[in-house]
Amino acid sequence: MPEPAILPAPPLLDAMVPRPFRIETVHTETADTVTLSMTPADDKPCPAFLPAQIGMIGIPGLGEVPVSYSGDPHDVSRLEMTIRAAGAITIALTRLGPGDQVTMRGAYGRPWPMPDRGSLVIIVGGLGLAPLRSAVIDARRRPDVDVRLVYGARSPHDLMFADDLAAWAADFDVMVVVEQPSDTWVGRVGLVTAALEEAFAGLDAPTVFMCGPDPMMAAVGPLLVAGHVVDENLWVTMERNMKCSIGLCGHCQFGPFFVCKDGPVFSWHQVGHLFEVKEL
Amino acid sequence: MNRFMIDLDGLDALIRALEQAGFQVVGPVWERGAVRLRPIRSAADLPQGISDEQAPGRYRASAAGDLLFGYAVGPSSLKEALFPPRRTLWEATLSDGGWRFEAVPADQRPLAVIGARPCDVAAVAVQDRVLLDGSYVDPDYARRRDSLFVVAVNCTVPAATCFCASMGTGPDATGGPGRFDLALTELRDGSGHRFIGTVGSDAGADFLENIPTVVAADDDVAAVDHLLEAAGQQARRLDTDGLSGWIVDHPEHPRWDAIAERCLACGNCTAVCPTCFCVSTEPSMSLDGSVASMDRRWDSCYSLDFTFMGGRPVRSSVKSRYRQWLTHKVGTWQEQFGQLGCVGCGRCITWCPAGIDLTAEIAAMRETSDA
Repeated sequence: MPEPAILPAPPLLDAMVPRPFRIETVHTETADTVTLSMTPADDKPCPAFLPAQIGMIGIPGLGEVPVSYSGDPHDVSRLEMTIRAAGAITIALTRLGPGDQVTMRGAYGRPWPMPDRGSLVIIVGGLGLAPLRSAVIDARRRPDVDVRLVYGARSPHDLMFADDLAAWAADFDVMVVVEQPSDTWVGRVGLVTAALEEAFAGLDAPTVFMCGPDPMMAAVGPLLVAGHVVDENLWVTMERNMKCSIGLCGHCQFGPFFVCKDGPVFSWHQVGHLFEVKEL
Repeated sequence: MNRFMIDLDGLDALIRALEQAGFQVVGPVWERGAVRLRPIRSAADLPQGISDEQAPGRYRASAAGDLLFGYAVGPSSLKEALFPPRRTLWEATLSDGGWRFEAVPADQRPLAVIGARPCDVAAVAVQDRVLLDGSYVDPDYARRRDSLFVVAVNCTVPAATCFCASMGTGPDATGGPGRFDLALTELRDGSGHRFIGTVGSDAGADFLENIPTVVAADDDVAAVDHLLEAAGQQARRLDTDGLSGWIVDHPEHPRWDAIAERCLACGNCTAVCPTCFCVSTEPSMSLDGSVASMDRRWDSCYSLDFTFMGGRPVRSSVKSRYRQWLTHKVGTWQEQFGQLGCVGCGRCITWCPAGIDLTAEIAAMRETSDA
């Protein structure tokens, strides 16, 4: 009688088992958004990541959420994530303090295709600056890349990374646009579209990275490909519900794509038409 | 290939031989009004003389006939055995102010299935592409799959909801897309109760050596071929020609709204579908806060939670959720995994409380494809 193969038991879904990370600092960005700086609480090194990649951060007993890394991809000592209090898990995460532990898995997904030369126009709305911050940090190390940043926020109180914005503005064009100005606001007023002509003035064949709420990308993407950039050079990063981040849970599907493994970065050529379908 | 014949004692001997070799043997059992996949110890556990009647939104299994396999698919598929509905992924303990995470190992016992239907065997091949062939492999599924021993039983009594013939997955497992070790067709007439079989693997051939078999008689082979040909004459069919591209291109077809008026978004179709693989994670914590764990459980794209993001769902309308399920199943699945996600088992039709029939809906949509 043949014996059935009893195989050694590899742990189930190793990639689903998180590591403990310790919060080192909490930086308040806005009333509802913080940037957590975290280091491994086990004896293993910090995972490497590339701009726009995703980590699954969580709290034991509460669950996990996908968040893009917002820190310096060259800093291998810590991870930074910028989190807005929106659902049960992110509300809990924004209430943690130094010394508290979180669960961490990653890095996952396709990063921004960082150019080596030429113009890079970055267009972000709201919290969309978080997954672009690491790209800006990376781009500033590329001497042949000419960066321009358009950052749209609801109001001056909603602007994140204030210190970074000031430092970046000394190096390259930073165009901040707010929808609802305060009495003391002297900058641009409107939506990100208000700064597009200025952002693309004099540029030949730019690369564009865009991140923002779906409605913003759905509205701005067609304007960009109509006048400023070919759709293969317009890149967006998507946010979707994810339970695994490794292509197995099915939650993050966007048309034929699994945002976690086929994205989160897509070219407009791949996904532009999908933004036309409501509730896809 | 020469076909063999075993009798009822031979089938019983096969089940016992598998059990003695260390397999957990599961097979169809009549339980609480339905034929379900459950652990079995002998042929006596099989649903002798049970037949079923299926229609959109309707399933009735009752005593009729004298066959062991005289019914079509019940609500359980091999998915339940290979990809359990709930599974603890990891446990964590808090000590000295820090968390330690440990993966929870899976049940190691190899699995044998008696009476797997050809559509369900085909569904395993579909799940293989999802869970084994991607960038990340589910090792739990991989282990169960590697040790899986399949005794398929061909369908001689398909239900009215079956459309395997049009999907190329049944009613005969032989030559179909799924892998099996042995495939049997049940015969019961004046010459007795017997099973005509084909061998699908070396492991299947090895097990047969210890069981009394004879070469199948020509008349029996002809009778089986006749039965399976008749079983393949199914009124219900799905026209898959160009379907995946067509459905992806029609997200705003008015029929989606009409279906949404009937769909309850209950998720029954995803629970009984042998290929639906979506899962969620469920965290838990001990009352004293010192032991945490994470379960994986089947999920459904019909749930509002499924797409929750930033405090609200991406797919809030029932229309968008039904459209996601069907467009994935027979549309985007093709681009993702190189085949359709539907094997024609008909369970989603039978177990839909509103009796929504994907074959009818797709046919109606494509008749008015100018939308």
